[in-house]
Amino acid sequence: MSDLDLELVEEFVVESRELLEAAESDLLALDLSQGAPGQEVVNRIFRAVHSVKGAAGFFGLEVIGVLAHRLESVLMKVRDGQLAPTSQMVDVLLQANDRLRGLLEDIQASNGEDVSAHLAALDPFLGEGGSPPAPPAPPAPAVTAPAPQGQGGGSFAGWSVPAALAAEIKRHGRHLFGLTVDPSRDLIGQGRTAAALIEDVSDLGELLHSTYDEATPGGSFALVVSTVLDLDFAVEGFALPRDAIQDLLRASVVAPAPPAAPPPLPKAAPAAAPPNASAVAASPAAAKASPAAAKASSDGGSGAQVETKSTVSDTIRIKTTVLNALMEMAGELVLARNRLLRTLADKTDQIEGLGPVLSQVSSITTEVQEQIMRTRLQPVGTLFGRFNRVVRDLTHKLGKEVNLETVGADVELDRTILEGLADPLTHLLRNSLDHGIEMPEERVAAGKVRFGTIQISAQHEGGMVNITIKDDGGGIDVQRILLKAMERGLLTEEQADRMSDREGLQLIFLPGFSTAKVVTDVSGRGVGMDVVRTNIEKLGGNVDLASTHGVGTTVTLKLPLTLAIVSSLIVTAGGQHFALPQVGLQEVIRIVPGQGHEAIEEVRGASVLRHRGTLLPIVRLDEVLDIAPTFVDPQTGARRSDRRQRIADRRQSSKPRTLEEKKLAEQRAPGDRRESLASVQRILVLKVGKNRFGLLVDQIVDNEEIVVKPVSRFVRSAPCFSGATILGDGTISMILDPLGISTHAKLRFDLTKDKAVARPKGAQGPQGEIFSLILLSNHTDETFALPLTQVGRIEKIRRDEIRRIGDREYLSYRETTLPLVRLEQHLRVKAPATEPVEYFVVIPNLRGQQIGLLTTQVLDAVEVKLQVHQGSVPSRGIFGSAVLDDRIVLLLDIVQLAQLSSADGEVRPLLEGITPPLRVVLVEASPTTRLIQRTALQRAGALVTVAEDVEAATALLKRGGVDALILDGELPNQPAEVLLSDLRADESLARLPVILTTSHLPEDEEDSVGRFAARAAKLDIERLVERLITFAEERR
Amino acid sequence: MPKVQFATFYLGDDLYGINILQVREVIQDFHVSQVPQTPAPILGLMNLRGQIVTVVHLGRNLGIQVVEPQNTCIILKTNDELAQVHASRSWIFPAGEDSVGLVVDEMGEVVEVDEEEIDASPANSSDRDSATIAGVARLDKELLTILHIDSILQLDFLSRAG
Repeated sequence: MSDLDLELVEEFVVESRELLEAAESDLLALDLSQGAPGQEVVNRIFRAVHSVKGAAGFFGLEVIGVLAHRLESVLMKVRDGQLAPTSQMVDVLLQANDRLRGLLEDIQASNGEDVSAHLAALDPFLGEGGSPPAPPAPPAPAVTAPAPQGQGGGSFAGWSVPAALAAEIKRHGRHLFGLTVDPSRDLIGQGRTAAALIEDVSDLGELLHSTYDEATPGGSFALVVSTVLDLDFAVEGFALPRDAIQDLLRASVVAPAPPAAPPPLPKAAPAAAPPNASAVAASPAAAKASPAAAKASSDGGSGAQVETKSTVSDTIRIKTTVLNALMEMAGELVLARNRLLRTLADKTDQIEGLGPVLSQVSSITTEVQEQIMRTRLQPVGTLFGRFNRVVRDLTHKLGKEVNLETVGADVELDRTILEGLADPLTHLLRNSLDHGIEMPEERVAAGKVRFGTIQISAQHEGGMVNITIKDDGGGIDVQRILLKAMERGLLTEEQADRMSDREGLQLIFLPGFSTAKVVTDVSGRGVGMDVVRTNIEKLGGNVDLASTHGVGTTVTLKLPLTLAIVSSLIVTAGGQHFALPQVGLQEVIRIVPGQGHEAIEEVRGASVLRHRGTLLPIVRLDEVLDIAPTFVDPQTGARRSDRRQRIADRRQSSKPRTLEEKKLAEQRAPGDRRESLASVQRILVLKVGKNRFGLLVDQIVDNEEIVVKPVSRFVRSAPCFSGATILGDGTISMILDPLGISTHAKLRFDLTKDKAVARPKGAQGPQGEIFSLILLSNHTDETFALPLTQVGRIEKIRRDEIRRIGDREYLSYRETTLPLVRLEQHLRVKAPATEPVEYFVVIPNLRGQQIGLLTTQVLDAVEVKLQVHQGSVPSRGIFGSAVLDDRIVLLLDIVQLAQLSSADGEVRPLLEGITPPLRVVLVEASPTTRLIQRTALQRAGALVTVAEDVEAATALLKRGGVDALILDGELPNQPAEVLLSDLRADESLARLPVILTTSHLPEDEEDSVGRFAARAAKLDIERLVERLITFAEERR
Repeated sequence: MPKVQFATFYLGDDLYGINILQVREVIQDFHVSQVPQTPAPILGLMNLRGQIVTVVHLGRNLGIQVVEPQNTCIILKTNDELAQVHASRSWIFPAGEDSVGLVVDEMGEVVEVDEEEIDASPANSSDRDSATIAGVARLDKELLTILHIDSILQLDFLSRAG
């Protein structure tokens, strides 16, 4: 054998050893689970043995092949439920497995070994008639017989297949292909092993025969495969070049019997070698196809090895168990880091140099974790790839004509998420095919093209991945949904009348709901969308559905990049700690005692909060979890008698923790923005699907990156948790599951209207300090912040994607050229110490000049209470600085940064040309928003006067000379509408332009406040200025 | 006749045992975090060197009066770990895929019992007891109740515990 062959065989041995080793533990598990084996376990063993068998056939390892085949036959019966595993049977299987492993140890001698005892021991399980014929055994050419005749191109042109078999295959509409595999090109060149190829082939069809021909330079494999795929798909599916696949049914090679060619016993092949080898070597095509192999034959092999290796040097195979272990350890590292930081937090002043070391350890840890995390990422293309098949099969079945388009196949997601996504996506695709896309005639009648189009696309958005499935089919008929819901008693007629189309669509997510006119075997059994939603939410994502009757349907899935590490709030209820993932968290509302009663009200025992013009249902975490509330009085405590026993335990075991908390509370006491224990309650506004509810917790302790750990079956049954985690202090905390909580609390969202209450009477929850920020860094000690509302997208790019023209940098992005801005060019901040391979580009949603901010690190998207730094001075490009978790954060002025980076680099006021300058009065409750808006408006060229409150503003306005009022639309206890009508009551102010600013601005409400008034989202400076300009122009 | 080694421990006044091959380790003085919404015998979760272990209050599960607090916990091998055991599998009752710890009063000695010395659960024991007793070994001084871990850790068994 040549070096190449030896290398392949060696690889085979290593891989087979792994497979059989794994099979052994699985066989043992099979023994433990006697009688009711997990299908997964059986499948795993089956596949392992199958792969070994197939690859053994390649190398002419007959004895291994025969034994593996017999083993496989028994396993097949177990898999198909014809045979229940018994202890005795597992024993025999284990012995056979051991024997296989023994044979692998001396592979060269294996063909001389005797395995008849093992074969005989396996036979009884196969019942009457003993075992089916073993294909890889040498006498098998009676079934199929590839005959290498070397008619050029290096392929086995002389395939020979028994006519009966060929006819049978043809009758079933299957194809019969002969594959010629060049190891250096098709295996090593693609970084796959022989076993992996066998697996690919077996996945897509039935492997009838395989042989290895060591006569050709570098050796080659010949496989005969029967499959439903046609040639085009086979090329793709097997990942082989077209000329390596021969359609044996089309080519008239079907011979009545094989004698035309000598039976290709692998051992006999060398006899035919000289003519065959020379024919191939003389063929330029073959030389071109496998230069490495050709070189191997002339150089004597050793040099070729180096070369073939160099082509694959940037990827290596790693066992997933190793990756998972690394992953887990990275998680532990993060936890240990958190613990270290916490322990040493107050020592940094005492020990010189501790601070920098800590932050270095911290950032390296983050980096390590990120890099390891990346190893788990896989492109969604691997998933999209299999949909071609689904679409193809289904369109034939349904008689429809459909084009499948995929976009963004290179977007990467965590493996676990990809796996969990397969079923829901397939389901959605089937839905689109079955219910969405109409029959071709219907489409033509409706004036559409015959071909329906389904587009599956993936794209990054704000640290999540959006996957959309969009079809141009018939859309969803909301009326029919409503009718159906009424039929099923899910809805009263009155409720149906009140429902908007969007709400009606949501009914589709109710369990057992299907609107298919006919239940087909494709879909329509009503086990659909609710399962899709549940599955996606289990993955930490959510589902959105939009549909226009007659035009089409779009389903959007929003998914986290990874499941393993989740940014969470640590909250307490009833003295216990819980982790709440920030994904569904919308905002945090503080309830101060005294004011608390004003804010939370009761409707026949149900707690609600007036919030943003709706009633937010409030769920008490301690109640839903049935744990005693401890905030009332920790000494006597209003506890439930039936749980007294457990609560007593709990108090005992959690004592040190309480002390620690007390200590913490003392440390934080003066001037800390975190509140002291038990005096304040927090409502976390959570989003589940389209609905929101408030979760009342006692306190928010911390903000931690947690590592999600699976929990045991005992705890899994608890409905309100999605997992467990180990916190920085080593204690275990359960991870809250918002969906589970809302279900367990029996929140009936399906029937509530989005806007249940006509109008808020004021008394909105105190807020305005909460900011959604995205934190950026250049791996220096400076942190930058940008309000999330100003961020359009974040892209990860490679350094080599940055183009330089002159001294400027650009990125080709969505068919435009985006100027890139490095912060250190315009701000007095440090440049990144090293040039990383990858950058993050933050693309703000500016209306004018488009730019991309180049940073090396996106730290987090956080919901924070921001404290504007005292004495913070605005300078070019920044609004000022704030303190967040003890680090200084610079608030970026994105509008000015865009101007700084424009062609002439000049900063022009946005209100340029408007003279005299506009005089604006600004009323804003949140100091941070006030600072940003004031600075930004001043920079735009307006004269800004800040008024403390509405009274002060009114006084200023009455003095006259003011061009516009910018009024906080969310002042505590002062509904904007009321303020506005009070203001208008004064005749001199009746025509004063007023801009109401709100933190959340639904698009359709933008212009609904009448003449001389407008709305704008807070911090949307461009929109504010635009409004001011419109008003100024109207005046003239 | 083959002999089997049992790890023994006390619960209340009586001696109980499980096959020593099933024991991963025994730990003292541990901290448990409670988990709401779980059956009463589930004491909570323990952090064992970075691994999460579900801790079961054996006394509560079997209806045996014990003196609190108990500070001994027997960590059982999972199925995967058991698969590494290449000895005879008799008197082993797998605890499942998850890491589980059983809280007991205190550990006894390791005893070696002739399989012949083990009787079936007494005919007059209650339904619930007979499901949990795999056998009773006649030791010189006392009786050793061998627990059927598999049945004890069934979810529906746990949820029915008083």
